Amino acid sequence: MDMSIELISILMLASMAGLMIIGMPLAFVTGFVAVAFCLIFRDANSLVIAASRTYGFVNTYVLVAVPMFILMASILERSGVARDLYDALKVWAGPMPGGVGVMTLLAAVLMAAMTGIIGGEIILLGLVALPQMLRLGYDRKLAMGIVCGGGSLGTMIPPSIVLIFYGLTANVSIGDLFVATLIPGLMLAGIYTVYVIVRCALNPAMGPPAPIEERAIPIAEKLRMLKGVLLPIMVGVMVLGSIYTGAASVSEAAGVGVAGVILSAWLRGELSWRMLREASYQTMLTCGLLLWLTFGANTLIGVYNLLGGIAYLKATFTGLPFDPIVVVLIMMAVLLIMGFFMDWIGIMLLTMPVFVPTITALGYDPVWFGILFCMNMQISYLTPPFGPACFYLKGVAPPEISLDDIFRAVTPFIALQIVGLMLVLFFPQIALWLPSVFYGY
Amino acid sequence: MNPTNAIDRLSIRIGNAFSYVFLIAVALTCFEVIMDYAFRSPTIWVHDSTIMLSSIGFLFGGAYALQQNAHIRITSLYERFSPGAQRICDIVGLLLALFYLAVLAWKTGVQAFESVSIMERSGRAWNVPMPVVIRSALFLGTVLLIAQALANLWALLTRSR
Repeated sequence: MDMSIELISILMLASMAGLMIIGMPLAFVTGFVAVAFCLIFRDANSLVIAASRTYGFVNTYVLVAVPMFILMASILERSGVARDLYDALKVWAGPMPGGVGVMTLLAAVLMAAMTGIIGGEIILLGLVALPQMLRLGYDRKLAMGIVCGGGSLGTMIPPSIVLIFYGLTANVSIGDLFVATLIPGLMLAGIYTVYVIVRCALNPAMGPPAPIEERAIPIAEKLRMLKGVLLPIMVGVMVLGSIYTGAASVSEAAGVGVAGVILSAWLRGELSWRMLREASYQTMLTCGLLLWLTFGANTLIGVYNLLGGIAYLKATFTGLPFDPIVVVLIMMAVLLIMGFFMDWIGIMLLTMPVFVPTITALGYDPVWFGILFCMNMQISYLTPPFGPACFYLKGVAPPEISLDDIFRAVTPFIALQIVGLMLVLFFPQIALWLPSVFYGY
Repeated sequence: MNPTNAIDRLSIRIGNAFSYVFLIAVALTCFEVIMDYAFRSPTIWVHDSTIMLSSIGFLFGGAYALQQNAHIRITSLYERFSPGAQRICDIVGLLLALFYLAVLAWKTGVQAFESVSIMERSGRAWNVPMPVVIRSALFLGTVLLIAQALANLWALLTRSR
């Protein structure tokens, strides 16, 4: 059937929106729309794209890193490392208002360096850090914001599943992305820290320090507490170090990382078959839903490309009568709006095949754009009505805290994330300086 | 969700059994790293083996995730529908999903059949019939997903309201 690509695009978007509203899984929405449009506007022979693109996607070595990083996080979740890490850091908070909040952020950064997904980290912080802050009399909103904001750093601080998928979709080196994201991620953590300190300095009642008798722990004891978390942190450092120095591929580093957390769980006396089995089951489940969503979206993109849609959208974007930076801003707005309703993986698979070629055509660095995308997806984790980070926290927060409370609590952190995003957008060197030092380009 | 029928149990059993492929891939990767960095004699088979193992996990994970109702969906509006309307949405969603999966099974089935009949090899350093394994897993994983979707559809249609 002949129809202009504009009309096809609109029809495609409308049918996807309709099917998503009725609660059909995204993996099947994309797959079905792809197959249906291929049959209507092309022919049955072209349907082979559904099989060949799926086969091509799973047949890559980098993808092996995904289950491994998920496995690493799943094992860490089942060990007491997070609790020990938090307890060890908490005692350094001192008499400053907001000190425990700042230590929670530090714990969040360290945990983010050991995991690449957000869910587990927020659940851990919600279980470990939130009760402590509430017990000290922290402002509830501030405490919840710290947990959700800090926990979301999991995608920014490498290893990051979001960046691995971005690298695969945009055909960009994952090592470069992991290096580039480091400063923006730490910068964001720094912005949160300054916010917490300023709020608590203005109103010390928002973040009271621990009572003096709790703080009276000798230095030797404080240092001894750090011992238990040394090994998992070393694993994190080793994984990232071997990727950064180019000693190992991302998948190899991930594999060694899993072995490292298994080893540290064993040394801590926590390792059991049950733990490994449950972590494996969880990994299987997460991979099943991530990958099948990718298959559907990949097919959709393939079909849309066959119909000439990608070329059309790319031409439209590059032909916009604005400065290139305005085009980037428009893309950020599109991502932000999609983030209200969708998960990062869906947004990425649907937009990046169009956005990345456009960005490259406009003369921008796709590595920089990947970092912008990742920061944007962090925001999507917090924004209602679909804000997974808030859902995770709701699952473990005290029952009197409602989902609306949590959404209100994260609002200032969303604003801070947007500030961070704008900084990287207007000063690309924040992301690109470190890779240029590392790889000298 | 707890299993209610034979297909549910099959999806769970296969999903649980195949979830260990990731641990095996970890072990192989560590072996490779040791061989490469300590003994300077990298293997030619570990990379491809880990790809095969993980893809088996990925491909059979689809039915597992469907059985557990874990596939990502947007429920903010759906949750406001009446139970009757939700049921209709679920049935429509599954029927359309089955259409996509049927096409996928057809196309992957043809490719898997061709691959098996010529014993297609990877053509890499470790020249084994790796495509046969992955293409077959892709086909079988899709078939299992179809079975699971049919089981869910059956449960929806027979469920007393």
